[in-house]
Amino acid sequence: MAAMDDREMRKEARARRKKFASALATIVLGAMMSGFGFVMGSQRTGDAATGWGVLAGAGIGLALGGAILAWILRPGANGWRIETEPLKRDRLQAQRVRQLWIFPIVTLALLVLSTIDMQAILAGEGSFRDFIGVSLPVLYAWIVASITMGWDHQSRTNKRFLEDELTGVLRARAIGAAFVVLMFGATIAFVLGLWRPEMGIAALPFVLAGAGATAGIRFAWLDREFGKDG
Amino acid sequence: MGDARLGSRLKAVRTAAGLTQAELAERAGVSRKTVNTVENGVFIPSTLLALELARALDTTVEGLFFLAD
Repeated sequence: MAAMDDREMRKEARARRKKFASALATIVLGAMMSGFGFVMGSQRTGDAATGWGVLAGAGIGLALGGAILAWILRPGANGWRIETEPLKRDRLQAQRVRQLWIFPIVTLALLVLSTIDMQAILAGEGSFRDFIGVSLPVLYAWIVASITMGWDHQSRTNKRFLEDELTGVLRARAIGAAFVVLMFGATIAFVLGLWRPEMGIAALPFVLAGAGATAGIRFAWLDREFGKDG
Repeated sequence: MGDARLGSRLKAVRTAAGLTQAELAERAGVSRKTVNTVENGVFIPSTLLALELARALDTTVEGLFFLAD
């Protein structure tokens, strides 16, 4: 396949300039919000002052976020160097593998944290926060499964860099392993549910998180194994 | 994924052509990892990929792969 042509290079450079300008605009917006919040808040007391304080705080956060983004996207930074196709392919594939190591770990950490929330829900005392707590590991399991399957935005927009025959093979094997975990876990959840229905419900986030994490970690593991020179 | 019946001359042909795995990967439009796994016999390429690799190395599929009886 030919190297990235001039049109693509110009398009990429334009996109980077646009992102840098957006980051600068975010700094300005954040600075304006914080300035306005401070000025207005200093003239108020009580709840009104708190409200303006929150606006000022949000402004500072936005300005800091914008500054970090602007620093990353600054002209002359690595990202501004035009990448050749192989470099971009390697970078994006490495990025996907990093995500597939990190997100399953986050999923499992959230799963552990959600056990207390699940107990509260099963006891009939669940609050909105508890429902969010038990949903998060399931959501992350979906994110991991989506990245593995190539359904995420990054995979869809950079298909030609992230998809090739080997990717298909890695995906098939990763999903195969996740399917085993899913079947096994769902069977256990079913049996637990027959015994005590609430236990069956409590087991489901473990099954989903386990299956999602298996897909991601298996993909990343195989990618690492196949990357070794033989 | 690999199969002992498939013999490969890919590495020999590639090095004879003075190409690195990365250069061949770029020519064939795949990742270096794919070329690496095909060379190591870990991964059997599809007919399409085999044709791409053969074209990138200016040879035939039979010139790259053979049945190891």
